[in-house]
Amino acid sequence: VPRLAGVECEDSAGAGAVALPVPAGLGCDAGDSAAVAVDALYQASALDLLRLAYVMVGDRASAEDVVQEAFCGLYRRWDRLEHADNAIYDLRASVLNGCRSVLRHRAVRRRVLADPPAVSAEAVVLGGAEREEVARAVERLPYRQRQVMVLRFYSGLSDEQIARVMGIGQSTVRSTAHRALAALSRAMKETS
Amino acid sequence: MTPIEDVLSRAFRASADEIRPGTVPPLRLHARRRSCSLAYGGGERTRATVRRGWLAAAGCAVLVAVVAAGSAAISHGLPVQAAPASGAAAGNPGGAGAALRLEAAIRDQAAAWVAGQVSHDAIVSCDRLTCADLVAHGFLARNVRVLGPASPYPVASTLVIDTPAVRELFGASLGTGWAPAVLATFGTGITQITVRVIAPHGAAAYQAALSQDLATRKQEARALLDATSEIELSAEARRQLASGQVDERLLFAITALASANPVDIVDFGNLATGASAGVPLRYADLADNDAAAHMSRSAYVQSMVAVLSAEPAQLRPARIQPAMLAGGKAVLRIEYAAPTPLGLLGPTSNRSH
Repeated sequence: VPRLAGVECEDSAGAGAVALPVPAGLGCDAGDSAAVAVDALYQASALDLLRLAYVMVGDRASAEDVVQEAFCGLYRRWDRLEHADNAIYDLRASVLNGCRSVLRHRAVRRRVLADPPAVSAEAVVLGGAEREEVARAVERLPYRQRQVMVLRFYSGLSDEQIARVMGIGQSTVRSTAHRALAALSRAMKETS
Repeated sequence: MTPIEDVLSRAFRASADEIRPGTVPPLRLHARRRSCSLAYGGGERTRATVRRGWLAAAGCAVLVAVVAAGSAAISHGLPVQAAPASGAAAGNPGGAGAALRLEAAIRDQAAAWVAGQVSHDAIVSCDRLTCADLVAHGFLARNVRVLGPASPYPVASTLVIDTPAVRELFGASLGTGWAPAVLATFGTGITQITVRVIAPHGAAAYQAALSQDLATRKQEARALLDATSEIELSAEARRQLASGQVDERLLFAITALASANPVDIVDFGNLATGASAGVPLRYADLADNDAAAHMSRSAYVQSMVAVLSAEPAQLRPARIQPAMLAGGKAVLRIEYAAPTPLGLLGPTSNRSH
């Protein structure tokens, strides 16, 4: 059965990935070019988005779920997308929204179940003290500040691009970044 | 780049590099576009486990049956207890005996409501007769505090049942100063009974916490609607959700359900009359099947029950039961106990309403 590279179709019972009898070169829905386009985007940007989600939420399983959900969302909305060029912005925004949901759910569970914050011993050993210190300081930032820090210093986006992804003004991006850096400096000084 | 920016950049990069090229799992798109999601509990990630099994399904079926039977018994009991007093009052409205019977009937309704709707972990203050009624309806006696002439304001309680006898003890100051939010109202005039939430830090602090909670609920609802398209809502349900009227515990339940199956929300509501503005809606009526889930109705309901049963105890619904709406639509009702914890996501989780 012809398959798109990297794309697997699930059967309706959800029991796992199965190969569907689809025409050559097409994805899961026969005649649906959305799968082709979404797969191409996945091949090109999944690693970057997975890393972005991982930096935001700190655990790989959640990051993979968030990225998968973002691509599924794009696939569902593909026909309503005004410009295919905007898809990467759409994906990045979906990933960040997904990360926010994961972190909120985690915060509630921590509060309700009194779970300790999940910084693994392995991460501490591998990452060293400085990284752990940064991770803890960033974790204490409000979500919007954390988002701006990651988009600016990990993704290397300009203020204009960050504003577009987050749906806020450029001046808000600058002021948020300023407050976040000030808070991080204070936190790092206190720790050291 | 300043030193702090440099440190941040290096730390983020080091963290991101833990995800190595070539280890990204394949994209999994569902055969039907509408159904593409992290469905059936297995997630899409590599080697994710599938949670459902025949034992869980069978357990869930038993749970649904038990909850439905219990609920039917409670709802069947209420009108039977209220009816004789109402009839007596109608027959002899001016008599003192009829007034007492009417008062007793209203008290009984209030006690039944508290026993059925309020978390049995809550501490409830009331006058002697109402407390006795409350215990008779199955509320835990150890969580009931009887108010008498020497009692201070019951600020250590969760709720107070504000009856004529309680108003004789404290006047209106209890309601205005220490218990501003009404969860439910029974009767009218001098015989009226209200079930109120105690604000241990006073009414002003309570109102401030309530406003903050409302803002958080609005924000959370928007995030929920943005994060997934697995949720279908009626226009009314969307309005209720967007305006922050929905209990935060329901938001978490819906998030959990939508991560397993498509969810169709018919409406939200409260089983109470006369509640204060801003008191969150504690139940959601969900369609008992969704074509996009490609499951039988019973399998769909069982999977929903299984998802909710796996939530932590504090986020687990008090009841999950089938219900029939006025238009004849069958729904699955997911209901949380009162009072709603206030500030579940914020810093003020010690208060409730």
